[in-house]
Amino acid sequence: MAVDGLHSPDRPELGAHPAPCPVVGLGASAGGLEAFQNFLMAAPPDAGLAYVLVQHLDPNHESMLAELLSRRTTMPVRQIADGMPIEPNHLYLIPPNASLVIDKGRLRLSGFSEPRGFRRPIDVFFRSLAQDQGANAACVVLSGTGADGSEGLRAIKEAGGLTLVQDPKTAKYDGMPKSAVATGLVDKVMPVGDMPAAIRDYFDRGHASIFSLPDVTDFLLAVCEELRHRLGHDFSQYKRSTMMRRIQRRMQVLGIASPPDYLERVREKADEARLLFRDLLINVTCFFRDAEAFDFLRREVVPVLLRDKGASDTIRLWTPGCSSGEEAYSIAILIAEALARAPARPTVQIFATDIDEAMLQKARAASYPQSAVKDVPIELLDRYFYAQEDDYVLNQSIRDMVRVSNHNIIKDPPFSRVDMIVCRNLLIYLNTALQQRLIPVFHYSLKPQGWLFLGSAENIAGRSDLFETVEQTHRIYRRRGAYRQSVAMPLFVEPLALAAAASKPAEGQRIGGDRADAVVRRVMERYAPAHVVVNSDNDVVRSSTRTGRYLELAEGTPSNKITDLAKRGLRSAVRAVLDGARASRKRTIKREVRVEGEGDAIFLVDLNADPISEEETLLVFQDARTGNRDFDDESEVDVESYSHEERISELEDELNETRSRLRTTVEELETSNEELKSSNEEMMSMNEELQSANEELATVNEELKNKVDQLARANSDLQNFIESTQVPTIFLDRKLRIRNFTPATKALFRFQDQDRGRSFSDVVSRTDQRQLEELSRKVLEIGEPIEQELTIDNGNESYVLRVLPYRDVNDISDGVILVFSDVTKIRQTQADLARNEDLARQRSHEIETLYKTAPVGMAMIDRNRRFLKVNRHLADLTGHSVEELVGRALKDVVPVLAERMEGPAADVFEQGREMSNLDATIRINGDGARDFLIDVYPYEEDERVTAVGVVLKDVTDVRRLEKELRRLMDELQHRVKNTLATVTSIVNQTAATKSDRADFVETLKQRVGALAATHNLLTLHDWRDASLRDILDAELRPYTQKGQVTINGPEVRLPPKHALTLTLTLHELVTNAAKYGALAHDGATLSIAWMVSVDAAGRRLSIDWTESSVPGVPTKARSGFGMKLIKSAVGHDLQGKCDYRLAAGGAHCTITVPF
Amino acid sequence: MGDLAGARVLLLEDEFLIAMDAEQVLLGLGAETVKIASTLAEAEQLASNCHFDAAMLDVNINGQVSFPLAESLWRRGVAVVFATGYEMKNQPFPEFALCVTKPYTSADLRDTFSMALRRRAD
Repeated sequence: MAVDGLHSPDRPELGAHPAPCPVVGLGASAGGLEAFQNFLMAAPPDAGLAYVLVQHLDPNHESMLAELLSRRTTMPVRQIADGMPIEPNHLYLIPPNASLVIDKGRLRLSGFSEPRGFRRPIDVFFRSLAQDQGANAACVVLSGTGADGSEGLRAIKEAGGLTLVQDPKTAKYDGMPKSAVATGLVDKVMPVGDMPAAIRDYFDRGHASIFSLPDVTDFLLAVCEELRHRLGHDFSQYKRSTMMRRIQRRMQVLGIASPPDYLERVREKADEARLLFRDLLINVTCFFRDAEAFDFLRREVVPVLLRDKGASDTIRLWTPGCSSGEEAYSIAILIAEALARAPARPTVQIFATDIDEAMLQKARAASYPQSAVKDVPIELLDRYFYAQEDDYVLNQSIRDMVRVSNHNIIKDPPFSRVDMIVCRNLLIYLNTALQQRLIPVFHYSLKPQGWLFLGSAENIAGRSDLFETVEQTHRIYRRRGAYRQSVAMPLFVEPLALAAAASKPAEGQRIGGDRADAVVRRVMERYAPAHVVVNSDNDVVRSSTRTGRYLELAEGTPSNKITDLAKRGLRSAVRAVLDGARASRKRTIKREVRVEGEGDAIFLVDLNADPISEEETLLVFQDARTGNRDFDDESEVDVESYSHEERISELEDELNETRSRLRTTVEELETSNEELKSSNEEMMSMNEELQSANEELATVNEELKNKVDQLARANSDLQNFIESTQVPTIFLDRKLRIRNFTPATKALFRFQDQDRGRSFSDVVSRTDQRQLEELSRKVLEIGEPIEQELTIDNGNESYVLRVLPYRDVNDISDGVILVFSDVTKIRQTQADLARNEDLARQRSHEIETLYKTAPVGMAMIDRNRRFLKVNRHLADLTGHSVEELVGRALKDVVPVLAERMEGPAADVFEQGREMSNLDATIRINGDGARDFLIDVYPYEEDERVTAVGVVLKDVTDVRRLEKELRRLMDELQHRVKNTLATVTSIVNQTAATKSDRADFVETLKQRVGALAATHNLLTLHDWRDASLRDILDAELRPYTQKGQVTINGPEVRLPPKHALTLTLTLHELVTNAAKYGALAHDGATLSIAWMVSVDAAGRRLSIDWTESSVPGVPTKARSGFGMKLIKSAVGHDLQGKCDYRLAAGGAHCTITVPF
Repeated sequence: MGDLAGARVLLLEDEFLIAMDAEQVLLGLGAETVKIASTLAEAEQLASNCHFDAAMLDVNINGQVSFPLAESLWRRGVAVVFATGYEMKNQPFPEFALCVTKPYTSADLRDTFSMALRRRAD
């Protein structure tokens, strides 16, 4: 349902292309999602409205808004694409990173022109919405920080749209709502949920049609009266259509359908008058509005303005209806720019006036949002503004040029001698009559050739006699004429007789009086001469019409004294008559006073001062031309009698008085100036203090930020630490409630996240809960840690529990920490270790025992050849005890061994070679040298040979045995070989002398037998030796029974060769004796005796063989092999001697053998 | 010149009986004289005093070996034969050595001497 009829005729471009339905723009920033959601939940999907949501979105991220919001409404939710048309009952969302406007009912996207942070997307959209849809629009400002939306809201309001703001108390972030409310232009402040209904009602109601009122004028006047009553401002001259529109809108917003009801409201509610007032005055301005016009000013007007102006000159400008001051400051900037290049610097004063105090405050603050300065060229922005948060503030130099004050152009006398008036978009709000009155006021106010700059829709109301047009397009005019024309002040042409509408006369009573009054009034109005009533101070308290001929505003500060208001020519006369009238208490007249009139005309005036009361005097002006002298002559005083001298002295008195008053005033002024100065200085120093406090705060802020960062990081570290630790740890507070726990505790306790805060005893665990609690309580009490071993699961798991007191930053006990160290493995390992140790000890013991009891000598020698270790065997060998040897150097204890060992030991140490079976025959201890086999081997530690192991094997006995064996073997071999050869020899020799076979065999047998017997003897003693006696016994055995043999001699043991050779020799002797000698004859004796003697040559055995009593001894010895053998064998084999002789009694042989 | 006919032979043997036997065999082989030494010293003395054509030496004389004597004899042109009771390989015989093992036969001696005499001649 489109809203029409609220189209503004003076702003025809507004809302020229209404959309098919009202368009509601919603703007939000932080906290917007919630607000939007709440709005949508309450918004009926068939209200016939279109909603456009503008939110501050992160340009780098996808927005989830569409998805989230489509859950809250059945209306189609569309993310806006460029050119999308508005359709009713749809929801449109602004996409990220785009600027949104609406143009001819279509939504348009573009890129941002401002850098991020300066963007006001909500303002931008709202302004375009106001422009495009006019009153067919509503705007809603929702939660958010900053001030985006406030300027846009102003535009919507100005264009006649509905303005709503979320109640700051219900907003998550109240910055934007508060800023919007601060504009004072908000129709309603309400919670978000109530808004959809309010908007719908507003548009459904449409505009209340006050046009149908019979007496719209009366209604309007009544409202204006209320406004004047409440606010002191008269809007009766305000453009009617505008007024009506504004009132209609208020009624629509309030939901009031009947005008009398609205009038009632205005009367009852103080703020309604104020709200209507703001609505009426709403004026959106900005800097350099209509840039081309300003450019023209800059190029063509300002140079002229400044031409020939020196440092002592003053340039005055006036901007009535300045609102929040943008235009006044724009002009100031233009002039400052021009002055920067000028050789001389005149003083510049710009008077910026308005009746809207709220706007004036803004103007004084001189701080503007981004949207207001968007048309300021960048170099000017840099030069004349400084940024403060989101706003731009004008430099002091500019601000000093502009004086902001409250001034009602209709009521108050205008500024005079102004070089330029800039009055834009004020006239359009006033009705034609008032506009026509204002143009002459401007004329009056300006210096000759002064400039007038109007708004783009305004004009000079046809007064081309007063102004020449300089540039029609830009509405720039110049004052004609050199003289001022008087202006009737105040500008009320026909005071509206409100009494006629308002007062209801009492029934009947005053009818007659009414009529009389009406007549009197009529006479007064039309026929009575011009007059004023003054008080004793000469202030005008009442005036009639048509006094303009006689009165004018003086230059400088407007005054109410008749003596100042009277035209120059009349002044002294007026004073005279008034003084006279007061003095004489009679009517006083002065006639034919010369006054300057229109053009250069002079006319004559009669002055008539008539005291009405003690206080008041009536002063009547009459043109003297007609010579109408119809006064009664009663008490006229001819003022001419008032002498000049008296006048002069009077004047002089006045002058003195004035002078002294002036002096006092100057003094007072100077004092207050001083006070101002000093308070200014105080201000400045306070300012500086504030600045430095600010600096400090900023620093503190930084530090805090850092601290917060650190804290966050520490927190994060802590969190990570707790998460990552593998050690089950539980934090309990003083009451043994669970404060926190690490993930690893799950092995023992069935903790869940919700358990934080619960009592420890409530939680299930695999441990003995009670015990843990007791421990915890104990630790809390004593404040010292306790350690305890825990086993669970029948000893399969072991833990060491440490319970520690938890101390807070002030070191006060604030709970306990339970730390579980899983020692299961450790315990097992310990048990294993103990077992292994035992085993090792056992083995070691075995080895030690082995070492000690080994049948070989074992030792360890260090690099210094000291005994590191010695076994008993070796110790025994050396004849010392183990203790005596350990630590002693080898060479000190067993030098011979040390000597033998040195080479091998060195080899082992150097090359790590082991050597075995080294021979050594050394006398270690005791009598003889013994044979040893020595093994040496390296003992390594860390791949270094740190000691040499020695094994000493006593092989003496073995060697001996070996030697013996070898000897035996040698002997046997020798013997065996030789024996065969010997036997062969015996055989040969025997065969050579015995031809008889039986003899041969017998002899052979005997000889071989003797050899064999000796062999036997030798064998008995391992072929070492044989006893001589045994040999003899064996030889003589067959013969001893005859008792003829005596054997005598010491025990002599003969080595094998001796034994054998002697055997052979003795055998032959025996054989011979048995055949021929002592043994063959009874009674003969044989005596064998031997002895051993020692002389220089050595040892000698002497054997004596003496046969006696042998009969028939032949004188010649026999020859033959036997004899040969007897004589030669001993000599040959043994290097001995054998002496054989046949004596008388028998054979006698002496054998001497060395051995 | 292959036999002992008319030869003067030095016999070194420390066993009497064996020496007797060897003497007989050598004489039986035609030797003119056989001088018997029972010790190495005796043999050396004999060798230096007399000229011999051949020599029969027991390898092992009372624990000493007769190799040095054998060498000196050989150098002087004496045909040397060793009589050994041991296996030959255990002893460091001179390269010219020829041996008979005890007990040896007459034929053994004859053949070996003949060889030795011939060798000496070369």
